[in-house]
Amino acid sequence: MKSVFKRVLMSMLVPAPAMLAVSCADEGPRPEPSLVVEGMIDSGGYPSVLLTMTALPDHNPVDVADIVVRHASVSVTDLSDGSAVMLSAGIDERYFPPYRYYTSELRGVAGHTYRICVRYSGREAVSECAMPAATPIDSVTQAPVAGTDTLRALTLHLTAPPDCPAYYHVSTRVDGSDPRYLPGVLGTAEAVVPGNAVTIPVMRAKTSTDRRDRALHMPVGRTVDIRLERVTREVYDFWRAFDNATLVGDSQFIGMHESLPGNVGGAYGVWSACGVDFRRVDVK
Amino acid sequence: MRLCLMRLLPFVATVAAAQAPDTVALRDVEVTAPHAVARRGADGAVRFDTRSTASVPRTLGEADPLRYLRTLPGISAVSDISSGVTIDGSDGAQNIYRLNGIPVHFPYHFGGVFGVFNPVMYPRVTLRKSMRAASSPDYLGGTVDVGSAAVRPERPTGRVTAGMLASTLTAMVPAGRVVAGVGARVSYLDLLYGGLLRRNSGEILYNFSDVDLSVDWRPGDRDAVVATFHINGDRLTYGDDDFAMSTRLRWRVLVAGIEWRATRSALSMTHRAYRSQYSSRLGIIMPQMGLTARASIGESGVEGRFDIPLPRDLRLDAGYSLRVWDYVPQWVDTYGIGLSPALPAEARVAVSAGADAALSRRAGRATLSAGARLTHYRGHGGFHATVADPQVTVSVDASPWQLSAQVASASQFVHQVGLSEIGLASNFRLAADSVAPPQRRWGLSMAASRSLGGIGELSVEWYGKLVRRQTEYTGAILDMVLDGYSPEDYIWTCRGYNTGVNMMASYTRPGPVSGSLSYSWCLARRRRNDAPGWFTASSEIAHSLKADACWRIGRGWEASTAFCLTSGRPYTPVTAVYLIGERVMMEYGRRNSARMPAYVRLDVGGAYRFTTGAGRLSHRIDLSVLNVLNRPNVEMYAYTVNMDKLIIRRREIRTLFRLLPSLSYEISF
Repeated sequence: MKSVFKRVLMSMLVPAPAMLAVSCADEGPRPEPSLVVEGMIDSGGYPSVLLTMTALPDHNPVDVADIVVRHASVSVTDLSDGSAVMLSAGIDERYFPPYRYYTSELRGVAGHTYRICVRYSGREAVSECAMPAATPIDSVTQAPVAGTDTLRALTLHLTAPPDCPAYYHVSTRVDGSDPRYLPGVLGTAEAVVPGNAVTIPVMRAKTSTDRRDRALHMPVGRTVDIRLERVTREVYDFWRAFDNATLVGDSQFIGMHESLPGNVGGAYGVWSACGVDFRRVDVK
Repeated sequence: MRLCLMRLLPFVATVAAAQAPDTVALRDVEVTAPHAVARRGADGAVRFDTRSTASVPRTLGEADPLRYLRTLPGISAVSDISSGVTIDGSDGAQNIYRLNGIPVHFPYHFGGVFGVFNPVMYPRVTLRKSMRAASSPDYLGGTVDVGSAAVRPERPTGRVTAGMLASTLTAMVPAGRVVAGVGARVSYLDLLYGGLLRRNSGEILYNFSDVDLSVDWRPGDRDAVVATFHINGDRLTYGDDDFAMSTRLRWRVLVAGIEWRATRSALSMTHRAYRSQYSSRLGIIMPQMGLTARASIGESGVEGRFDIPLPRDLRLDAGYSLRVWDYVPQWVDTYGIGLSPALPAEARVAVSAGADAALSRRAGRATLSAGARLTHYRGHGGFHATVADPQVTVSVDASPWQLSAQVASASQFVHQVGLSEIGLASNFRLAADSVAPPQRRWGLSMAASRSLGGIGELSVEWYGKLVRRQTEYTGAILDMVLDGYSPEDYIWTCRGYNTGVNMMASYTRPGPVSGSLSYSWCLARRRRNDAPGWFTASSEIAHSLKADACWRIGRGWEASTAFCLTSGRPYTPVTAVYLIGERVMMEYGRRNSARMPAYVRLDVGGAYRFTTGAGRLSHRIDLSVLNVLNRPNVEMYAYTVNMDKLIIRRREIRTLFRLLPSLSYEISF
């Protein structure tokens, strides 16, 4: 009987090494790095593109400098009138990573469709995006924030345009803190019924790069630039998914495994042609 | 081994409880007996008494029945912070726990460290994995029944446990034909463990409390009336400095019911009425703003069972049930954002009425049982369904072997879905409707166990199950803020299969040492009903090797250890990390196509027992260390930017339980 028992014990212990082998982290083959496009052209503004590569840090971190794409060919074509321009590239400390493709030879016009084409190291990324007409900001209101005298909650008000559905995304820049416009938290909205009042919270971005000033509401005594972008449904879907990932993607309690629905073929990211309206607000 | 007779009685008395309601406790008598922990019955159920689970180190001073479950083959937790377990490949949402027969929709305190069941008041545990009974509730996976001791104390008894995490007071007081029980537990985790639970960039604040009341009234020799009441509340806050966000999770469980057990001639019957409620609140808190997701479910029910012996060695086991669920799917309210206050989600109601009967006959060494359950269900939006779940079971006593096989189907009318894929308290319940119809499974399971003549016992189980209409949820938190949000818009169903093998050898030879060793293999795959391609179920813990041992050194001293080596849990891997808007974004690969590193944990414990007051007072001092190897089991990965070094790095979020010591003192009378 004892020998039976020993045999059984051994039969259970024998799988252990094999188990350890198969149980080790199995993450499959590492995918090839891909292009990432964060590009936009505003109504009345010029194209601006940040170009990086994807990374996949494991035990070894990835140097941010290694994901910056410096020698790509980036062109933007206005498909409505056929004009095309090549973008220049250079260091721009307002951005992170601090390298940007830009031009001032092509100005965005509402109603036109813009095509971006990026070629880099045998890779090609292409996207087309129509630019909706801008919706004017009706007003921006300020309200006290519970528990603090140093912050104000800003709310943007607009009237839904006749050609609904309309999709919006809000970016903000706090003077003295943010060197560029960044996507505000909860900054997406959809207007369905023409003429209806629409409100969108105006908040600061929640970035991975700034841990010093974490309040998402606006600081009293500062000037805030607000950018209301009217975008296409595809771009709206991208920023909404971005918002969801930003809001809860860091939580251990909420599983979030949805990739962003980019609109660039051959790359991750977004190419946005947006009708924009601006508003500058002194936070009091 | 010196073992108190009290600890052996529950095994003997478990089955006979209904027939012998007037049993009384014997005084403690020291006898020598094999160390017996979990016993597998011919019906496939595993029964144990929490008072005899000494071979497992006490978790932070508490002998918890749900924690002991995790040492059994086929049962695994997918993570140290997960709640619930997988049982034979079934998702945690497909298992049900009952307290004196009353369903408890969320029986865990945070992280599965403690269950909500008071091990002194409710020491009797019956586990059914793949092999079902006629009385098994409408769930696809395992059933864990926790109940009062079959033996009533004849004098006042009590126990006070004071640990570094929590303290518990339990008392049982007989008065004539009534035995009243009261139990209360309060935790103070933050006080002593706050530093240990603090990580590099964040900390966990957590506390809970629970209260139990029970009354066992024996109006006559053949009748017993048992009232049960339980309530618990948990408050958890997790803050992470890296992300300027904290998560608050609150949940509350309330269970109340009354049961009448009676024997009339050879007939025995049980009737029960109950109410079970569960509510949860998840808060995402950022500076001066946040959102709160709330959900709740209540279940009211009446049910009964009859056990009727018939001529020709036939036996009829029959039952009825009527259940009403009132539930509010998860809805989100925001503050500090400028959005209008959200209206609470509409409360919904679902009803099921069921009857079942199983006829069994013993013929020589074999017992054949066949029966079926018929359930009519009405859910939200006019959805209704009638389902029949047949089952046939054969068991053979081929001493020393016990063999059994079963073919059975089961249905489940309450789904559990939500934002957490490891079954945290924030997940919510939905009763079946046209979008998420009742889940079904058809299963074949076989088991063999053999007594090794006083040395121990061997058991082998195999199961194969087809699963249909398992629910998954794809909603994100912002979706719940949308006007017209309906959870059904984000639910999809999948089908699939679970198969696996469990083996266990237990060593119970009389002597100072006892223990067990088990190995499990599981394969659980799923496929969306509306999309091609198979994926690994979140509940698939492919390999699992567990061992526990207890050494009764003598003179009141004993030492115990428990070891666990399992495959890492499946997870959806990140295939690319990139920057958008100065924020790290992730691209995800195929669902559950990767595994976390293997989970390894060794717990050790030691105890010293002594008596005072001429043996009237028993004392026990426990010292245990969780994860004595200090293994940094990985819970999840996060990606961050380090602006000082200008690098993007992967951060391993590791288990909270690393080299976690605890000391507790227990006094009982």
